[in-house]
Amino acid sequence: MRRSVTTVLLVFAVLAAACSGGEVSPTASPTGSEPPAGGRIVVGATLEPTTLDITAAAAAAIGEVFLYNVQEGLVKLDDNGHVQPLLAERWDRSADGRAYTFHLREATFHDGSDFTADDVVYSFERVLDEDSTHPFKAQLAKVESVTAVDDRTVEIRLTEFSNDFLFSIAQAVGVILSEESIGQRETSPVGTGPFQFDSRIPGDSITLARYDDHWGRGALLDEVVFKYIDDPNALSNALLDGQVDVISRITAPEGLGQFTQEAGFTVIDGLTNGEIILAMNNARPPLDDVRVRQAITHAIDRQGIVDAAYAGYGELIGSHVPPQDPWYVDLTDAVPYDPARARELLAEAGHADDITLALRLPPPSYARRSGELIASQLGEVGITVTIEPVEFPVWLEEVFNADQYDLTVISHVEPHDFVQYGNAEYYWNYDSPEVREWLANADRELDIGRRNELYAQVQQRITEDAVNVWLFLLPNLAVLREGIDGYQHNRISTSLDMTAVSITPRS
Amino acid sequence: MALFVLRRFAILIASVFAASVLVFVVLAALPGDAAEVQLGDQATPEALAALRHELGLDVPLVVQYGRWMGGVVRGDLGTSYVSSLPVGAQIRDRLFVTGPLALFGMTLAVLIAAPAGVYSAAHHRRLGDAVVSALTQLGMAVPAFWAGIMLITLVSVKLHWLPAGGFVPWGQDVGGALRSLVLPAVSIALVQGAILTRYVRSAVLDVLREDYIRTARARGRTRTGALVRHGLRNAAIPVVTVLGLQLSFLIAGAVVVENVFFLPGLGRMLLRAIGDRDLLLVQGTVLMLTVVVLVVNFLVDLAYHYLDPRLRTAT
Repeated sequence: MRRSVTTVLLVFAVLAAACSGGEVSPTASPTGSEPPAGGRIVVGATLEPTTLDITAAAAAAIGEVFLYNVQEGLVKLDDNGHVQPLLAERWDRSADGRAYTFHLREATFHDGSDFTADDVVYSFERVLDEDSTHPFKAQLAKVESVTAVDDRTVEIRLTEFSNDFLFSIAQAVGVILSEESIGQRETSPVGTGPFQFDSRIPGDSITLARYDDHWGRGALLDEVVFKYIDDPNALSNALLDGQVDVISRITAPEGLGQFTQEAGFTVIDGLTNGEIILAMNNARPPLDDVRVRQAITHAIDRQGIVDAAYAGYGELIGSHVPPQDPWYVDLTDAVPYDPARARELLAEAGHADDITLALRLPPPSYARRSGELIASQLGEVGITVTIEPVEFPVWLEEVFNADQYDLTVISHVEPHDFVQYGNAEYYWNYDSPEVREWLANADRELDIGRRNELYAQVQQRITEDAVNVWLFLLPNLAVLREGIDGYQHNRISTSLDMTAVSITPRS
Repeated sequence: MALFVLRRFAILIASVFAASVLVFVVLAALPGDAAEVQLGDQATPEALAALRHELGLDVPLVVQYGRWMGGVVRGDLGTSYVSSLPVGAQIRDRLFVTGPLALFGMTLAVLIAAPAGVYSAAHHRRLGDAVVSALTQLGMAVPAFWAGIMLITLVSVKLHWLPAGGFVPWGQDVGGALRSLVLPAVSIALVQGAILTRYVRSAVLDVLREDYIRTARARGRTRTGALVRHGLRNAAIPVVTVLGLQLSFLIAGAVVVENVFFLPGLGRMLLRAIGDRDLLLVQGTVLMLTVVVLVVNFLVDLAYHYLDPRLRTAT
């Protein structure tokens, strides 16, 4: 008995993945003529959402399907990360920046009920409720009240002005749900978007169908199927075989070579908000010594890591801000690859050749692959690194929540997440009262120029303090078969926005 | 016979109970819980506490176990922490993929192994035996997932004869469902068939050395004639044992093949559920698999009785 149970568990612990060589072609741009309406597209995606309720879990896989496609907020983020009107056609801000008045569109939910100001109040209060289990509740921390002025007008008051407020509510935390059909949010979610939920086969796919009564232009496609294939090789085969039309996320970029333009494929190489970092536990000796952290940064050849681990895809970053953010400062070369300097710094800190660090790696391919290279590069300057692969729940509990680690590699995918450098409790344990104050002031700063200056100061400081090693920006890599237009280039929010996508049937 | 069945049944119940404790304790010892995984890296402590309370994760483990087993004895495996779907229904849906896959694969394996093994034994130390042995060595060396990838490349991507993966639900199209299981079953059968062939071969060789075969031959039967008339039934006993072990292993091992062919099977579901710390789903599935393994063992025992009359008097 014991043997069979153990065998079962052991067998499940084993998984395999493989792939093959790389090349990029420019992305397709929409043609001047009217895009073809109708048709069905099958998107091959890797991670299946376990729940369909966008308000229940943090998994990006839920937003990928539902955000903007099925469920809409008052505002949305465009491909460049700018806030655009959605269910609110416009809004006014009070002079002190503490009150927003949203003027709502006329829209209907997929359950047939009208969208009104009460739905906005209901949806926000559900997140803010004392017993709420919303994963992104913290993003609404500055919201004081949400009131319906009339059927088509909502006022949201903040405890103080927040630069990030509109940006936050443009994402999953801000979706507007219908109270009438809230009971079916886990099985058949309802929203106001251009697509409505059609069906789901657990373990296989989720299907969305065009919603004909959408308030706006509506969707071009009749149907979108998200098909879940976790093995990168199987996913490539499904595209070659014609079972899927798109691979929405490439996790083994060295296999991109087979999808050439001649073979009828387009490779998208865009930006995401995923800063891949080598996080350091700043509270643990010897990592509490800035010279040791600087030495580690100097010891790492980031371009070498991108080339070997991600087939050269992915932009280098020198701080925790992606280039598309308006306050981005280019610090890519601020602490260059310089092993000799790294050795000097370690000697100065009194740690030549006597440091041993534990590098705990979560499952994603970027982490496991980068981790091996980091260990060998640190080895060259005399730092011994022991690698320990961990599964995600262990990473969350032990590394992220309990700070039991020296080094780890992870992609921080939330937009504007560099505000965490003002949180001394955060898992890298960086405590700088100045940075904390600059970040707090920046968020309440009404003057955009002044705000950007403060954010620039923060970037400079965290780079000087070598809080973490910022390796590279996770690229948005996708492959489309020919005939697909209007596909998003960048991945700023979690949404895989299919609302403007069209497809020409195979000839 | 009735006593035999009754005793076996009592062992089965005791084993299931022991398995339930073991599974529960092992899983409870894993770091991380469903609430943490679900709420991710921005969760507030209040939201985490509220969700743990909602899921019943904030009570002592003994109480959690009691609640789970209380449901199990009433036939209710509970509700998944993550998807809020009933555990029983989720397992049933996936079993309709993994079950037929394992049976299909094993049937093909037997169809390959039985003739190949007997042929090989009958041609012991001749060319035919050498060829079969070489092929089985190759089959055992090839992992099922690699066989799957090669089959997809050839049969699906190049020739377009069968789909590269995916599953058409039975309710939608029975023919389509069968078609989607062909390549996965073949990749299982190639590997399992190779292993089984070797067992068949050695079992038949052992039998050929038995006195009763010599007697039969002395009475004028040919080597093949003696084998068919007296040998096969005896050779089947060790083969059935291996078959039972293989079948148990297959249901678990299907995860690799399910991944390559992206089938919505039990293996993939279980792997994901462990990653999500959806422990009720994991517990329910492992418990169900335990029952399957025990039932298979039980059937193997019954098969002995059928195949070998000597065992009937022994019990």
